[in-house]
Amino acid sequence: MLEMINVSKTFNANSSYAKEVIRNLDLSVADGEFVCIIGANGSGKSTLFSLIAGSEFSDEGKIIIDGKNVTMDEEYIRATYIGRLFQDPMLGSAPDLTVYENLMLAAKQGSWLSVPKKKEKEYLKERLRELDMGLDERMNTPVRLLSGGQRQALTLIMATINPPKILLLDEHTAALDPESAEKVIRITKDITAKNRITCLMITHNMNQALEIGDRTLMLSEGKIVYDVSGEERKKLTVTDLVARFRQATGKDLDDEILLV
Amino acid sequence: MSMLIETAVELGLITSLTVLALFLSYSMLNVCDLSTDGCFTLGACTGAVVAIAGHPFLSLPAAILAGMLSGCITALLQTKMGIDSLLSGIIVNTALFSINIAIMGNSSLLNMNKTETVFTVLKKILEGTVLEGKQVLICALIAVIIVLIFLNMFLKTRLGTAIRATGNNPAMVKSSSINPHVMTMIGLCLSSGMTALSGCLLSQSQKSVNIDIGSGMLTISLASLLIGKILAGSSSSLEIRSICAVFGTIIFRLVYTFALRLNMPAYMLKLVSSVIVIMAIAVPYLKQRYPLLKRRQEARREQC
Repeated sequence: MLEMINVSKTFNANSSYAKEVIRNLDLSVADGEFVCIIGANGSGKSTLFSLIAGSEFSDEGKIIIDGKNVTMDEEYIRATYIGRLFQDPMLGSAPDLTVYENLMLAAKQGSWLSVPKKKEKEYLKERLRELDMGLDERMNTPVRLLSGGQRQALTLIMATINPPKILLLDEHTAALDPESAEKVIRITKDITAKNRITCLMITHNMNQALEIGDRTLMLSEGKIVYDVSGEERKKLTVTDLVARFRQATGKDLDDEILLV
Repeated sequence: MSMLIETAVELGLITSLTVLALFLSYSMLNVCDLSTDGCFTLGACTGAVVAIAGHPFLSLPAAILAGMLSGCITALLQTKMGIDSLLSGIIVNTALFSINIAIMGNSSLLNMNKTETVFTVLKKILEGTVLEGKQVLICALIAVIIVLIFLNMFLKTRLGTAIRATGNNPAMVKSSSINPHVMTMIGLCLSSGMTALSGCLLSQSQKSVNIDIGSGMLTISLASLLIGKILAGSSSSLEIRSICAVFGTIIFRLVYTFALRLNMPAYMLKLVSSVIVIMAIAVPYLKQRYPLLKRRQEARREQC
């Protein structure tokens, strides 16, 4: 599904502040695979996502999605088959538009000059009801009045209402309270499994990194330093993973990495 | 006195089209289009030239098209040429000064005393009816109603919603695979078309156009828009907000007329509208800041 070949990205190239964030990175993700990505701050996790989504362009290398070279395609074009969520729940939706208007734009059914029909509204309402977060009762509420958890759940539905080929989750539960975080994780698992969406998830939660999905990647200084899946991953404990982290990076854990 | 009020309402209705244009560009798309003054004059000049050439009805679509073209260029500069949004408005505004004089045939003034305009045509139709002599009021009212209906229908469509989202959170628009540049382009095109229509109607109702007809129009219209915002209160309904923008314009013109009656010199219009804009934006901001400033003062006093 996703193929990255020898991809590199340097910020502020040709200046004394040049910083190589991604270095000759190779990555291959199979159709329907759910990959968890861990790594210290500045290891290039978010930049990796930006390159896949097209909000940044790589300096070298190729990014192939579903057999098509998309390395230089603009973000809004890739957005038709890539969904992306950020840590900040405010980024994914327009605050002054209602829940329904946000969702209607993401669903993109019908022509530009049409006014959405009642049937479509019912369908979208039904999709919100499945979330069980009370959003279906707040269809006409401006999004700015929702809680962070509700906004993130809405963004998740917006990103997957037309199932994308790839879903990029950039610590999308890190800013939520534990209860909302758990709900959003549950919804994430449900939606990706139901639609067989290929998913990459950045997390700082070591437990999550081992429990969710089928594969765990560790990034350090713009390279993949550890890649584990299958039986080996099942046997792995958080302690093992932390030891691996130390071994790979030569550093102690950052404060922000959660062990529990 | 009633004559004065009628003139104020007429003027309010005609210029409310510019205010509705700003409702689209400033309130919805979050772009402050500084080419508004020039665009207003562009509509006035284009309309006048076409009317003088003997096509009173063609003058309206001609003005709208000219305005849309100008809006398109402003949008292109800020989306595709890397020029800051405010700067591209100023640049287009400056360029329009030359273009407007060129349109008027190397002159800065055109007279339409004997020209057939939409108003004179309507005047003839209304002769002998109860509405005799009210052609400006009726024509402006029809234009405002049509634009209001069009604008509200448009904002309800997928495209209109996408334009509102672009002003609200461009990142969300991109991730919904909508090109925000195209949305800015369409929004500014439509708003500039409305501004130009407003200019066209004003010049025809005054039976003359000069190069200064649009000067200060942006600030005056912003003042009206912000008065309308106060009228609308906390309502989030687009219909109510847009209708309040029209009433805001009429109130602005009425207040201005009364101020003139109280011997305020006519040249004060622009100062007054500037002060209104400053107050409408700064007062809510300062209100919000005041408790913080007060606490800071108190904290500093404690240190001494």
